[in-house]
Amino acid sequence: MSPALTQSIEQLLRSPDNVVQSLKSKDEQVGAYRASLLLIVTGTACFGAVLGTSHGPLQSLYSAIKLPAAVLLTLLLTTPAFTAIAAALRRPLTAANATLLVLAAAARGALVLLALSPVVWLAMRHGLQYHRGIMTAVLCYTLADMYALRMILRGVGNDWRGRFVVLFFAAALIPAGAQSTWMLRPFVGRPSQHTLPFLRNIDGSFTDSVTRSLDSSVRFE
Amino acid sequence: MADSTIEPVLSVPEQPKNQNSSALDLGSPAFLVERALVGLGLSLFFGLALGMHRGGLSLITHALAIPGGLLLTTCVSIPSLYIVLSMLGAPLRLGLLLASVSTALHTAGRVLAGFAPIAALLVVTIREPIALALVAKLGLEIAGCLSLYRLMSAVREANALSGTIPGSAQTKYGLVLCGFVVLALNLGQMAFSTLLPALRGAS
Repeated sequence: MSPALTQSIEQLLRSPDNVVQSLKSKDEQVGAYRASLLLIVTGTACFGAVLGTSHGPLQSLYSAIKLPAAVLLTLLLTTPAFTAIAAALRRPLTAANATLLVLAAAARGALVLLALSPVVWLAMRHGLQYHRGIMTAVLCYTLADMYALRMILRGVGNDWRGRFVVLFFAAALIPAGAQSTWMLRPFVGRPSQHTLPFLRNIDGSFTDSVTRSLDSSVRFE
Repeated sequence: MADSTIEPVLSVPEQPKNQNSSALDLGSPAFLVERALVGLGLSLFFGLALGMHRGGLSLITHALAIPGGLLLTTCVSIPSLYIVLSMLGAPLRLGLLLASVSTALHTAGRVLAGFAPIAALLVVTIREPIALALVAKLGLEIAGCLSLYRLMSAVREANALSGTIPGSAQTKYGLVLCGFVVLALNLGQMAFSTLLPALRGAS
Protein backbone atom coordinates (compact mmCIF):
# COMPACT_ATOMS: atom_id res chain seq x y z
CA MET A 1 0.00 0.00 0.00
CA SER A 2 1.44 3.40 -0.95
CA PRO A 3 2.32 5.86 1.85
CA ALA A 4 -0.10 8.44 0.38
CA LEU A 5 -2.95 5.95 0.53
CA THR A 6 -2.08 4.96 4.10
CA GLN A 7 -2.01 8.62 5.06
CA SER A 8 -5.43 9.23 3.47
CA ILE A 9 -6.90 6.28 5.37
CA GLU A 10 -5.29 7.44 8.60
CA GLN A 11 -6.74 10.92 8.10
CA LEU A 12 -10.22 9.58 7.38
CA LEU A 13 -10.07 7.66 10.65
CA ARG A 14 -8.47 10.22 12.91
CA SER A 15 -9.07 13.69 11.55
CA PRO A 16 -12.03 14.09 9.22
CA ASP A 17 -11.65 17.88 9.48
CA ASN A 18 -8.23 17.65 7.80
CA VAL A 19 -9.73 15.46 5.10
CA VAL A 20 -12.39 18.10 4.42
CA GLN A 21 -9.70 20.76 4.15
CA SER A 22 -7.48 18.64 1.92
CA LEU A 23 -10.36 18.03 -0.52
CA LYS A 24 -10.05 21.67 -1.59
CA SER A 25 -6.47 21.19 -2.74
CA LYS A 26 -6.23 19.85 -6.29
CA ASP A 27 -3.03 17.94 -5.53
CA GLU A 28 -4.64 15.84 -2.84
CA GLN A 29 -7.90 15.20 -4.69
CA VAL A 30 -6.67 12.23 -6.73
CA GLY A 31 -5.29 10.52 -3.61
CA ALA A 32 -8.54 11.18 -1.78
CA TYR A 33 -10.60 9.72 -4.67
CA ARG A 34 -8.51 6.55 -4.68
CA ALA A 35 -8.46 6.12 -0.92
CA SER A 36 -12.21 6.74 -0.62
CA LEU A 37 -13.12 4.31 -3.39
CA LEU A 38 -10.81 1.66 -1.99
CA LEU A 39 -12.26 2.04 1.49
CA ILE A 40 -15.86 1.98 0.25
CA VAL A 41 -15.28 -1.21 -1.72
CA THR A 42 -13.24 -2.91 1.03
CA GLY A 43 -15.44 -1.91 3.96
CA THR A 44 -18.75 -2.75 2.35
CA ALA A 45 -17.44 -5.95 0.72
CA CYS A 46 -16.26 -7.22 4.12
CA PHE A 47 -19.56 -6.33 5.75
CA GLY A 48 -21.47 -7.95 2.87
CA ALA A 49 -19.38 -11.11 3.17
CA VAL A 50 -20.12 -11.26 6.90
CA LEU A 51 -23.87 -10.88 6.29
CA GLY A 52 -23.79 -13.85 3.94
CA THR A 53 -21.90 -16.18 6.30
CA SER A 54 -25.10 -17.61 7.77
CA HIS A 55 -25.89 -19.10 4.34
CA GLY A 56 -22.46 -20.36 3.30
CA PRO A 57 -19.48 -19.12 1.29
CA LEU A 58 -21.35 -18.62 -2.00
CA GLN A 59 -23.83 -16.23 -0.37
CA SER A 60 -20.87 -14.44 1.25
CA LEU A 61 -19.25 -14.00 -2.14
CA TYR A 62 -22.49 -12.70 -3.69
CA SER A 63 -23.04 -10.24 -0.84
CA ALA A 64 -19.42 -9.09 -0.98
CA ILE A 65 -19.96 -8.18 -4.64
CA LYS A 66 -23.44 -6.69 -4.29
CA LEU A 67 -23.07 -4.45 -1.23
CA PRO A 68 -20.29 -2.25 -2.71
CA ALA A 69 -22.34 -2.09 -5.93
CA ALA A 70 -25.40 -0.92 -3.96
CA VAL A 71 -23.41 1.75 -2.14
CA LEU A 72 -21.77 3.05 -5.32
CA LEU A 73 -25.16 3.11 -7.09
CA THR A 74 -26.60 5.14 -4.21
CA LEU A 75 -23.72 7.62 -4.39
CA LEU A 76 -24.17 7.95 -8.13
CA LEU A 77 -27.87 8.70 -7.71
CA THR A 78 -27.64 11.07 -4.76
CA THR A 79 -24.59 13.23 -5.54
CA PRO A 80 -26.48 15.46 -8.04
CA ALA A 81 -29.16 16.08 -5.39
CA PHE A 82 -26.47 16.93 -2.83
CA THR A 83 -24.80 19.43 -5.17
CA ALA A 84 -28.15 21.08 -5.93
CA ILE A 85 -29.22 21.26 -2.27
CA ALA A 86 -25.86 22.73 -1.22
CA ALA A 87 -26.03 25.37 -3.97
CA ALA A 88 -29.63 26.27 -3.07
CA LEU A 89 -28.61 26.85 0.54
CA ARG A 90 -25.60 28.92 -0.55
CA ARG A 91 -22.96 26.34 0.07
CA PRO A 92 -21.79 26.18 -3.54
CA LEU A 93 -19.52 23.23 -4.25
CA THR A 94 -18.17 22.32 -7.65
CA ALA A 95 -19.32 18.96 -8.98
CA ALA A 96 -15.81 17.59 -8.26
CA ASN A 97 -15.74 18.84 -4.66
CA ALA A 98 -19.27 17.61 -3.96
CA THR A 99 -18.42 14.18 -5.35
CA LEU A 100 -15.24 14.02 -3.29
CA LEU A 101 -16.99 15.07 -0.11
CA VAL A 102 -19.72 12.47 -0.61
CA LEU A 103 -17.13 9.80 -1.45
CA ALA A 104 -15.00 10.65 1.61
CA ALA A 105 -18.11 10.58 3.82
CA ALA A 106 -19.13 7.22 2.38
CA ALA A 107 -15.61 5.94 2.99
CA ARG A 108 -15.92 6.91 6.65
CA GLY A 109 -19.27 5.13 6.76
CA ALA A 110 -17.65 2.07 5.16
CA LEU A 111 -14.97 2.12 7.88
CA VAL A 112 -17.74 1.97 10.48
CA LEU A 113 -19.20 -1.07 8.69
CA LEU A 114 -15.75 -2.64 8.57
CA ALA A 115 -15.39 -2.09 12.33
CA LEU A 116 -18.81 -3.64 12.96
CA SER A 117 -18.14 -6.67 10.75
CA PRO A 118 -16.52 -8.88 13.46
CA VAL A 119 -19.34 -8.11 15.89
CA VAL A 120 -21.99 -9.07 13.33
CA TRP A 121 -19.97 -12.13 12.32
CA LEU A 122 -19.86 -13.28 15.96
CA ALA A 123 -23.60 -12.74 16.27
CA MET A 124 -24.17 -14.77 13.08
CA ARG A 125 -21.94 -17.55 14.40
CA HIS A 126 -24.02 -17.65 17.58
CA GLY A 127 -27.13 -18.35 15.51
CA LEU A 128 -28.64 -14.90 14.95
CA GLN A 129 -31.83 -15.80 13.09
CA TYR A 130 -32.75 -14.42 9.66
CA HIS A 131 -35.08 -11.55 10.58
CA ARG A 132 -32.88 -10.38 13.44
CA GLY A 133 -29.94 -10.54 11.07
CA ILE A 134 -31.73 -8.15 8.73
CA MET A 135 -32.56 -5.79 11.59
CA THR A 136 -28.91 -5.88 12.72
CA ALA A 137 -27.80 -5.03 9.19
CA VAL A 138 -30.26 -2.10 9.06
CA LEU A 139 -28.96 -0.82 12.42
CA CYS A 140 -25.37 -1.04 11.16
CA TYR A 141 -26.24 0.85 7.96
CA THR A 142 -27.98 3.52 10.06
CA LEU A 143 -24.92 3.95 12.27
CA ALA A 144 -22.62 4.13 9.23
CA ASP A 145 -24.94 6.68 7.59
CA MET A 146 -24.84 8.84 10.71
CA TYR A 147 -21.04 8.93 10.64
CA ALA A 148 -21.07 9.71 6.93
CA LEU A 149 -23.59 12.52 7.36
CA ARG A 150 -21.55 14.00 10.22
CA MET A 151 -18.58 14.21 7.89
CA ILE A 152 -20.71 15.93 5.25
CA LEU A 153 -21.84 18.39 7.91
CA ARG A 154 -18.17 19.22 8.56
CA GLY A 155 -17.68 19.72 4.83
CA VAL A 156 -20.60 22.08 4.32
CA GLY A 157 -20.15 23.96 7.62
CA ASN A 158 -21.77 23.19 10.95
CA ASP A 159 -24.23 26.09 11.06
CA TRP A 160 -27.98 26.14 10.42
CA ARG A 161 -27.53 26.15 6.63
CA GLY A 162 -25.13 23.23 6.79
CA ARG A 163 -27.58 21.33 9.01
CA PHE A 164 -30.38 21.92 6.53
CA VAL A 165 -28.15 20.73 3.67
CA VAL A 166 -27.53 17.51 5.61
CA LEU A 167 -31.21 17.16 6.56
CA PHE A 168 -32.44 17.51 2.97
CA PHE A 169 -29.63 15.30 1.71
CA ALA A 170 -30.59 12.64 4.25
CA ALA A 171 -34.16 12.83 2.92
CA ALA A 172 -32.75 11.91 -0.51
CA LEU A 173 -30.06 9.48 0.65
CA ILE A 174 -32.12 7.26 2.94
CA PRO A 175 -34.84 6.17 0.47
CA ALA A 176 -32.34 5.90 -2.42
CA GLY A 177 -29.85 3.89 -0.35
CA ALA A 178 -32.52 1.67 1.15
CA GLN A 179 -34.12 0.93 -2.21
CA SER A 180 -30.90 0.26 -4.11
CA THR A 181 -29.70 -2.09 -1.35
CA TRP A 182 -33.08 -3.80 -1.30
CA MET A 183 -33.06 -4.20 -5.10
CA LEU A 184 -29.79 -6.15 -4.93
CA ARG A 185 -30.91 -8.45 -2.10
CA PRO A 186 -30.51 -11.17 -0.79
CA PHE A 187 -27.53 -10.33 1.39
CA VAL A 188 -28.33 -12.63 4.29
CA GLY A 189 -30.17 -15.45 2.52
CA ARG A 190 -33.40 -17.04 3.75
CA PRO A 191 -32.78 -20.19 5.83
CA SER A 192 -35.65 -21.97 4.05
CA GLN A 193 -34.15 -21.28 0.62
CA HIS A 194 -32.01 -24.12 -0.74
CA THR A 195 -30.94 -22.48 -3.99
CA LEU A 196 -28.95 -19.28 -3.84
CA PRO A 197 -30.13 -16.64 -6.32
CA PHE A 198 -27.71 -13.83 -7.13
CA LEU A 199 -30.69 -11.45 -7.20
CA ARG A 200 -34.24 -11.90 -6.00
CA ASN A 201 -37.35 -10.73 -7.91
CA ILE A 202 -38.51 -7.21 -7.17
CA ASP A 203 -41.72 -7.45 -5.14
CA GLY A 204 -42.83 -4.94 -2.52
CA SER A 205 -40.29 -2.43 -1.26
CA PHE A 206 -37.59 -1.92 1.34
CA THR A 207 -40.05 -0.54 3.90
CA ASP A 208 -42.33 -3.59 3.49
CA SER A 209 -39.33 -5.82 4.06
CA VAL A 210 -38.16 -3.99 7.21
CA THR A 211 -41.70 -3.91 8.61
CA ARG A 212 -42.00 -7.67 8.01
CA SER A 213 -38.62 -8.35 9.64
CA LEU A 214 -39.38 -6.09 12.60
CA ASP A 215 -42.72 -7.82 13.05
CA SER A 216 -41.15 -11.29 12.83
CA SER A 217 -38.23 -10.49 15.15
CA VAL A 218 -40.68 -9.20 17.79
CA ARG A 219 -43.09 -12.14 17.39
CA PHE A 220 -40.32 -14.70 17.85
CA GLU A 221 -39.26 -13.00 21.09
CA MET B 1 -17.73 15.55 -18.64
CA ALA B 2 -15.45 18.34 -17.54
CA ASP B 3 -16.54 20.56 -14.67
CA SER B 4 -15.99 23.63 -16.79
CA THR B 5 -18.80 22.46 -19.07
CA ILE B 6 -21.34 21.61 -16.40
CA GLU B 7 -20.83 24.31 -13.82
CA PRO B 8 -21.86 27.40 -15.82
CA VAL B 9 -25.19 25.75 -16.69
CA LEU B 10 -25.94 24.43 -13.24
CA SER B 11 -24.65 27.15 -10.94
CA VAL B 12 -27.13 29.77 -9.78
CA PRO B 13 -25.66 32.98 -11.17
CA GLU B 14 -25.47 35.79 -8.64
CA GLN B 15 -27.15 39.04 -9.55
CA PRO B 16 -24.55 41.21 -11.23
CA LYS B 17 -23.69 44.30 -9.19
CA ASN B 18 -22.72 47.59 -10.73
CA GLN B 19 -20.39 49.68 -8.57
CA ASN B 20 -21.46 52.95 -10.19
CA SER B 21 -25.15 52.59 -9.58
CA SER B 22 -27.22 51.01 -6.86
CA ALA B 23 -26.21 47.70 -5.30
CA LEU B 24 -29.62 46.45 -6.41
CA ASP B 25 -28.92 46.66 -10.11
CA LEU B 26 -29.83 43.45 -11.91
CA GLY B 27 -28.94 41.62 -15.04
CA SER B 28 -30.71 42.35 -18.29
CA PRO B 29 -34.27 41.08 -18.73
CA ALA B 30 -32.91 38.51 -21.18
CA PHE B 31 -30.53 37.22 -18.50
CA LEU B 32 -33.39 36.88 -15.99
CA VAL B 33 -35.63 35.09 -18.49
CA GLU B 34 -32.80 32.78 -19.50
CA ARG B 35 -32.08 31.86 -15.88
CA ALA B 36 -35.75 31.14 -15.20
CA LEU B 37 -36.05 29.09 -18.39
CA VAL B 38 -32.99 27.02 -17.48
CA GLY B 39 -34.67 26.29 -14.13
CA LEU B 40 -37.93 25.30 -15.79
CA GLY B 41 -36.03 23.19 -18.31
CA LEU B 42 -34.12 21.38 -15.56
CA SER B 43 -37.37 20.64 -13.73
CA LEU B 44 -38.55 18.64 -16.78
CA PHE B 45 -36.15 15.87 -15.74
CA PHE B 46 -37.97 15.31 -12.46
CA GLY B 47 -41.26 15.06 -14.37
CA LEU B 48 -39.72 12.60 -16.83
CA ALA B 49 -38.48 10.49 -13.90
CA LEU B 50 -41.98 10.41 -12.39
CA GLY B 51 -43.44 9.50 -15.78
CA MET B 52 -41.25 6.38 -15.88
CA HIS B 53 -43.66 4.74 -13.43
CA ARG B 54 -46.11 4.12 -16.28
CA GLY B 55 -44.06 5.10 -19.30
CA GLY B 56 -45.52 6.11 -22.66
CA LEU B 57 -47.64 9.24 -22.69
CA SER B 58 -47.22 9.54 -18.93
CA LEU B 59 -43.60 10.61 -19.54
CA ILE B 60 -44.78 13.67 -21.42
CA THR B 61 -47.70 14.60 -19.14
CA HIS B 62 -45.53 14.39 -16.02
CA ALA B 63 -42.61 16.18 -17.69
CA LEU B 64 -44.83 19.09 -18.70
CA ALA B 65 -46.75 19.21 -15.43
CA ILE B 66 -43.69 20.03 -13.31
CA PRO B 67 -42.58 23.25 -15.05
CA GLY B 68 -46.28 24.05 -15.60
CA GLY B 69 -46.95 23.80 -11.87
CA LEU B 70 -43.92 25.92 -11.03
CA LEU B 71 -44.95 28.57 -13.51
CA LEU B 72 -48.57 28.56 -12.37
CA THR B 73 -47.63 28.88 -8.68
CA THR B 74 -45.23 31.73 -9.50
CA CYS B 75 -47.68 33.62 -11.70
CA VAL B 76 -50.47 33.39 -9.13
CA SER B 77 -48.49 34.15 -5.98
CA ILE B 78 -45.83 36.71 -6.92
CA PRO B 79 -48.19 39.58 -7.89
CA SER B 80 -49.83 39.33 -4.43
CA LEU B 81 -46.45 39.63 -2.75
CA TYR B 82 -45.48 42.65 -4.82
CA ILE B 83 -48.81 44.40 -4.27
CA VAL B 84 -48.88 43.86 -0.50
CA LEU B 85 -45.24 44.87 -0.01
CA SER B 86 -45.67 47.95 -2.19
CA MET B 87 -48.80 49.01 -0.32
CA LEU B 88 -46.88 48.69 2.95
CA GLY B 89 -44.18 50.94 1.49
CA ALA B 90 -41.42 48.34 1.15
CA PRO B 91 -38.51 49.66 -0.94
CA LEU B 92 -38.69 46.67 -3.27
CA ARG B 93 -38.47 47.38 -6.99
CA LEU B 94 -40.28 45.22 -9.50
CA GLY B 95 -37.05 44.44 -11.33
CA LEU B 96 -35.46 43.12 -8.17
CA LEU B 97 -38.48 40.99 -7.35
CA LEU B 98 -38.36 39.51 -10.86
CA ALA B 99 -34.65 38.78 -10.44
CA SER B 100 -35.39 37.03 -7.14
CA VAL B 101 -38.16 35.02 -8.79
CA SER B 102 -35.81 34.00 -11.59
CA THR B 103 -33.23 32.81 -9.01
CA ALA B 104 -35.95 30.91 -7.13
CA LEU B 105 -37.14 29.17 -10.33
CA HIS B 106 -33.56 28.27 -11.21
CA THR B 107 -33.05 26.83 -7.72
CA ALA B 108 -36.29 24.81 -7.86
CA GLY B 109 -35.35 23.42 -11.27
CA ARG B 110 -31.86 22.49 -10.22
CA VAL B 111 -32.98 20.75 -7.04
CA LEU B 112 -35.69 18.86 -8.93
CA ALA B 113 -33.16 17.80 -11.56
CA GLY B 114 -30.86 16.65 -8.75
CA PHE B 115 -33.66 14.49 -7.34
CA ALA B 116 -34.59 13.05 -10.76
CA PRO B 117 -32.23 10.01 -10.64
CA ILE B 118 -33.46 9.05 -7.16
CA ALA B 119 -37.09 9.53 -8.22
CA ALA B 120 -36.50 7.36 -11.29
CA LEU B 121 -35.03 4.54 -9.18
CA LEU B 122 -37.88 4.66 -6.66
CA VAL B 123 -40.82 4.93 -9.06
CA VAL B 124 -39.49 2.25 -11.40
CA THR B 125 -38.70 -0.29 -8.68
CA ILE B 126 -41.68 0.28 -6.36
CA ARG B 127 -44.90 -0.58 -8.19
CA GLU B 128 -47.42 0.75 -5.64
CA PRO B 129 -49.01 4.04 -6.84
CA ILE B 130 -48.60 5.51 -3.34
CA ALA B 131 -44.81 5.41 -3.81
CA LEU B 132 -45.13 7.59 -6.90
CA ALA B 133 -47.19 10.16 -4.98
CA LEU B 134 -44.77 10.12 -2.04
CA VAL B 135 -41.70 10.55 -4.26
CA ALA B 136 -43.40 13.40 -6.14
CA LYS B 137 -44.38 15.11 -2.87
CA LEU B 138 -40.94 14.70 -1.30
CA GLY B 139 -39.13 16.17 -4.31
CA LEU B 140 -41.57 19.02 -4.79
CA GLU B 141 -41.66 19.95 -1.11
CA ILE B 142 -37.87 20.05 -0.77
CA ALA B 143 -37.51 22.03 -4.01
CA GLY B 144 -40.35 24.34 -2.91
CA CYS B 145 -38.77 25.04 0.48
CA LEU B 146 -35.33 25.70 -1.01
CA SER B 147 -36.59 27.97 -3.77
CA LEU B 148 -38.76 29.91 -1.31
CA TYR B 149 -35.70 30.29 0.91
CA ARG B 150 -33.75 31.76 -2.05
CA LEU B 151 -36.65 34.07 -2.90
CA MET B 152 -37.11 35.26 0.67
CA SER B 153 -33.43 35.89 1.27
CA ALA B 154 -33.18 37.85 -1.98
CA VAL B 155 -36.21 39.97 -1.08
CA ARG B 156 -34.91 40.59 2.45
CA GLU B 157 -31.48 41.58 1.15
CA ALA B 158 -33.10 43.94 -1.29
CA ASN B 159 -35.13 45.59 1.45
CA ALA B 160 -32.07 45.87 3.69
CA LEU B 161 -29.94 47.36 0.90
CA SER B 162 -32.57 49.92 0.00
CA GLY B 163 -31.85 52.05 3.03
CA THR B 164 -32.59 52.11 6.72
CA ILE B 165 -35.89 50.50 7.48
CA PRO B 166 -37.44 51.17 10.89
CA GLY B 167 -37.90 48.18 13.18
CA SER B 168 -41.70 48.27 13.04
CA ALA B 169 -41.63 48.18 9.22
CA GLN B 170 -39.20 45.26 9.27
CA THR B 171 -41.61 43.32 11.48
CA LYS B 172 -44.45 44.10 9.06
CA TYR B 173 -42.43 42.94 6.04
CA GLY B 174 -41.34 39.84 7.93
CA LEU B 175 -44.96 38.96 8.66
CA VAL B 176 -45.91 39.52 5.02
CA LEU B 177 -43.07 37.25 3.89
CA CYS B 178 -44.15 34.53 6.35
CA GLY B 179 -47.70 34.79 5.07
CA PHE B 180 -46.41 34.59 1.51
CA VAL B 181 -44.51 31.38 2.26
CA VAL B 182 -47.70 29.76 3.58
CA LEU B 183 -49.67 31.03 0.58
CA ALA B 184 -47.08 29.88 -1.96
CA LEU B 185 -46.80 26.41 -0.41
CA ASN B 186 -50.58 25.98 -0.46
CA LEU B 187 -50.89 27.31 -4.00
CA GLY B 188 -48.09 25.02 -5.10
CA GLN B 189 -49.82 22.04 -3.54
CA MET B 190 -53.07 22.97 -5.31
CA ALA B 191 -51.36 23.58 -8.65
CA PHE B 192 -49.47 20.30 -8.59
CA SER B 193 -52.40 18.23 -7.39
CA THR B 194 -54.34 19.61 -10.36
CA LEU B 195 -51.64 19.30 -13.01
CA LEU B 196 -49.57 16.31 -11.94
CA PRO B 197 -51.18 12.93 -12.66
CA ALA B 198 -49.01 11.33 -9.93
CA LEU B 199 -50.76 13.46 -7.31
CA ARG B 200 -54.21 13.14 -8.88
CA GLY B 201 -54.02 9.39 -8.41
CA ALA B 202 -54.42 8.94 -12.16
CA SER B 203 -51.42 6.67 -12.40
